[in-house]
Amino acid sequence: MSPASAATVNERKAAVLAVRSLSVTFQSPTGPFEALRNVTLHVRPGEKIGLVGESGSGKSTIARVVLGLLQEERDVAVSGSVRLGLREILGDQSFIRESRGDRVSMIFQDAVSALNPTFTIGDQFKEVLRRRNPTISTAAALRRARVALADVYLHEPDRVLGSYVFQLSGGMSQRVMIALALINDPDLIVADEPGSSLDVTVQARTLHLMNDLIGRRRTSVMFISHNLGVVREFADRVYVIYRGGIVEHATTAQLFADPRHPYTRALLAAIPRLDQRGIPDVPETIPGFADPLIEHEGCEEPSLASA
Amino acid sequence: MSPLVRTLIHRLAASLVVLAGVSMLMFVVARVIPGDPARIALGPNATEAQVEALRRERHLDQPIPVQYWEYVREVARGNLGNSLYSNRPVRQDIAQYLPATLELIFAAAAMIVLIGIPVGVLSARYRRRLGDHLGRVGSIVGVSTPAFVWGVILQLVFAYFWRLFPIEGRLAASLPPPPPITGFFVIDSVLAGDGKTLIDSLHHLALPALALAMAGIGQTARLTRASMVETYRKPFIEMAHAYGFREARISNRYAFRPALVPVLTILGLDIAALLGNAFLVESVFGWPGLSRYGVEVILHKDLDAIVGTVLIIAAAFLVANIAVDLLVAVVNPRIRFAGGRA
Ligand SMILES: Nc1ncnc2c1ncn2[C@@H]1O[C@H](COP(=O)(O)OP(=O)(O)OP(=O)(O)O)[C@@H](O)[C@H]1O
Ligand SMILES: [Mg+2]
Repeated sequence: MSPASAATVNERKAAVLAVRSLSVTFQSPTGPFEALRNVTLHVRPGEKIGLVGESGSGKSTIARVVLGLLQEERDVAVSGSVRLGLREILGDQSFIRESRGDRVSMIFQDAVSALNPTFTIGDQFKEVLRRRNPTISTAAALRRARVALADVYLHEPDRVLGSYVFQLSGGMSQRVMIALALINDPDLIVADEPGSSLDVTVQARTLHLMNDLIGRRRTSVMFISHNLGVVREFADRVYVIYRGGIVEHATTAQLFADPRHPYTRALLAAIPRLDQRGIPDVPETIPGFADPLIEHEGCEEPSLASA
Repeated sequence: MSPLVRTLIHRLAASLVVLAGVSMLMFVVARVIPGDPARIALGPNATEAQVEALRRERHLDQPIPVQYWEYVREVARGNLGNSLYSNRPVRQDIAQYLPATLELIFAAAAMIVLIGIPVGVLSARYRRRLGDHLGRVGSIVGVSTPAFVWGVILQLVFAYFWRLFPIEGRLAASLPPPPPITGFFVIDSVLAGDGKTLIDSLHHLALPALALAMAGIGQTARLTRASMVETYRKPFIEMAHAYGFREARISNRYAFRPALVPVLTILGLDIAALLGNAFLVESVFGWPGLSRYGVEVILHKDLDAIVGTVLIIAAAFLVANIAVDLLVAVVNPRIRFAGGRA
């Protein structure tokens, strides 16, 4: 091991991602809409956190803030703090702009529509590889891409690289997406409902594959899902989000052994298993859903000073 | 055989059928509109015997199917018949006037593509900013003003008041036309290595081409903008942003190529429609082109010349459409690979 400077030691101990008191308000013609309220969460190096909530609860909005995408839109107010490693990204886009696609990457729900229909898979690998190494040659890029495709068990890498997305199956596209997300060896991957557009067996296989690859590299993951069953299988720690606010925060074991928030209990009661299609059937609202955040013991973000 | 080649062959075969249909239709229409073509050609002073002789010579006394058969044999030999009026082969007349019109149309098409598309792309990239608003207003003005009005406006402002451009014609009277090789003055003067003629012909070409192009530029800018804005909402653009692709690269490549597909299709129709608008622009700028010739032959009921002119225009239209479809296939891999099946 090479001797590390003080800064990198600090950086290694710091959370890969630390979100504090994040609020997001969309300005719409019908008035302001508060999509996120006082959201605080963190991801430690090598850790996989789950973010669970119903459709419209604000999961993707968090993902878009973490990647700096929402900040580039108009008619939206973002406040609070979002740190990547030690860098604050709210208020200064420069760091996140150079980080995304390189240190931070994203896996989209529907790979078929997230890949560009008019460029070959090979072209898209090349562009992503150029994010880390702008001068990489086409031959070198394709060589790296071939290895990455072999990692996701796509056995005819040359055919895949020469294909357009519509020539691949949904499962193959999702594997391509995973290979793309991992190819620059990012510190953090945001996976927003990966594969939920696939049929359940293919989805399960893809998720396990993703989990293996990520585990081997010790990449940190923010795993977004509306399916507690999926989260149970893949996350170390879970945040439950309800209408833009985190309502419960626990390790996966704690959450399933001892769900405390009324909303989490309702979600658990309606849990679909990974091999089942469908959205949990949670009651519209009961009074307890609005209860404040419940954080289980030992889940707090370790402060830098004490680390 | 690649699907693309097969499609091309299909399209060419279909085009021949269309041309046969157009020729039949025009052949009949030219003969049923009122007026005796032989009498019109020879003028009021010709004797009945002379008129009768011309009729016999041109088979005008025969039933229309027989006349058509004669015409087809003529066309098969590579001719388009003879003008009743100028007494020259129609092919020769068209060869004289067509290049002027094509030069005008190609110049206008180039302007539509080179101005309309970039304006649309930039408008979409900087949407809802000042430049976008100006571009959109400009586009609407461009689209909603007829080409001949643009002709008159441009001529008044730039040729008459400011005297920056010549008022009419293809070339200054003091310059001899370049040796005819393609019939395009711009190309022929390049081939002849004659810089002075080249500049003068471009100078003459600019205003009429712009007048002809204005509507297409506006239309193309609007369409490109709409298609780009639509494409920006697609998940693959969000993905491009999430992976940090540079904004200019997204706009010029990753959003541009998918957005171009619907634009190209309409663009092909717009450019083909230039043929129709060219006539008015040609009259405003005294441009010696085919459109003017076409109207002249209709007024003279010059049978073969009418059919020949329409055939050439139809052929140009079909070629433009096939060219656009090929371009669309190049841009859109989905069509390229499905080509044989489509
Ligand atoms: N650009 C926007 N403008 C206005 N409102 C928005 C915008 N983006 C998201 N919202 C709103 O914010 C809320 C949260 O949306 P978000 O996409 O984060 O939900 P989600 O939890 O990812 O849902 P799903 O599971 O369906 O993906 C929704 O009510 C949505 O309508
Ligand atoms: Mg979402």
